Amino acid sequence: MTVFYLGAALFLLATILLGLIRVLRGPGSGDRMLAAQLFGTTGVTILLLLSLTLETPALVDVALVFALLAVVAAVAFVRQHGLPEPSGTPIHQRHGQKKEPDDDR
Amino acid sequence: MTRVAKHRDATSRGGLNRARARWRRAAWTVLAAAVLWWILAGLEALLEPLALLAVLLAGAASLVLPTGRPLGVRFRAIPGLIGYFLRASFLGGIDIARRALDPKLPIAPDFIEYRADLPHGPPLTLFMAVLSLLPGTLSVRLEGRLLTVHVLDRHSQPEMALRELEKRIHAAFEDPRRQSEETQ
Amino acid sequence: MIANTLTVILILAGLVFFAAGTAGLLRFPDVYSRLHALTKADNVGLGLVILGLMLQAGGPADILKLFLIWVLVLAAGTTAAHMVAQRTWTHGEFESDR
Repeated sequence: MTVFYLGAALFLLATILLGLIRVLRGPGSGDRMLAAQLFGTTGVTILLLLSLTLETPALVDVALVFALLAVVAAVAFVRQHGLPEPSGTPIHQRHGQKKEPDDDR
Repeated sequence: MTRVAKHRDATSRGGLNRARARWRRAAWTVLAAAVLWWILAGLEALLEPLALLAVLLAGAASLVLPTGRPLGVRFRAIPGLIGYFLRASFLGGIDIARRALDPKLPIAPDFIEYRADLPHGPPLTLFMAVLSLLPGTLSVRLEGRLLTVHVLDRHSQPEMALRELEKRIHAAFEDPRRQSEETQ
Repeated sequence: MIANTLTVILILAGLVFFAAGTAGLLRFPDVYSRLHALTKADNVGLGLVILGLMLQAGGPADILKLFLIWVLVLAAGTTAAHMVAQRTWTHGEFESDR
C-alpha cells in the first residue's frame, strides 16, 4: 500500500507540473491565480497521501492548514491592487440597463 | 421545532426565556469547541486542564458577547440539502471531467442572467457558493438579486438546475420577508 | 483486505478527476471555463481520495479531521472561483501584471 500511496502522490505532482504550463502561458493574471488554486487543492491531497507513505500523521495537520490558507491566497489576489471597481462594468455595457435597486428590506 | 425557532420564541416571550436560550447556546458552543478540539488534537489532549479551560472560556464568551440575528435554519431540511449537494456536485465533477478529456472539447460557454428570489445574507451566499459546484454553472457577479452566471454549455438548460437549487435552499431557511406575506 | 481494495479504487478514481482538472486547465479556451474545470473536478477528486483514506483512518477523530479538510477545501475552492471570476469580469481578462 505504501508504494501505491507514493505513486499516487507522484502522479499528482506530475499534474501540478503540467499546471505550471498555464502559469507560464498566462495569458491573464486570473489564469495564474487558477494555477495557484490548483496547487492548493492538489497540495492538500499530496500531503494526505504522504502522511500515510511516511507514516507521519502530523502531515494531515499541515494539510488542514493548507486548506485554511487557500482562501487567504485568493482574497489576497482579488485585493492585490485595492482598485475601485470601474464605473462602467461590462454588464451595463452589454445590456444598457441600470443597476438593480436592492429590494432587500 | 428547531433550536433557532425556539430561540426566537424565547426572545419574544421575555427575560427568563431569553436567559435560558442564552445558556442553551453556550452549551452548544462548549460542545462544538470540545468536538473540534477532539478532532484536531485527539482525546488525551482534550482532557488536559488547559484544553478544558479553553473550551469553557468559549462557552463563557458566548454568554457574554451579544447575540447576532438568528440564522433561521430549518434543521429538518438540512439532510436533504446535503444529499442533493453531494449528488449534484459529484455529477458536476463527472460532467466537467468528461468535457475536459473529450478530444472534441464539447463546450459552448456563455453568460446568462438569473434573478434569484432568496433573501440577502446566508441563503444567497450559500446559493452562489453551491452554484459554482453544480454541473456547468459558475457564479460570476451579483447585482442586487441579479446574478451573472457563466455556463459551460448554453444548450444544457442551466436555469432548471438553478431553480431546483434555489427551491431547496428556500426550504432550508426561514424567509423573514415571507412570514408576513404568509399570514395574509 | 476489502478496505485496501476499496481504498485503491477510490484513490485511482480520484486521480482521474485530478488529471481531468489539469487537462481542463490547459485545454479550455477562457478563464471562466478553466475555473469550472478546476473547481469541480478537483473537489470531486479530493473527495474520492479522502473517502479512500477514511477507510484507512485510525479512529473517528481521524475520519472527522479528513472530512473537515474536505469541507474547508470545498469552501475555499468555490469562494476562490467566484472571486477570481468576479475580478476577471470587472477588471478584464488581460489586466497588466503590475
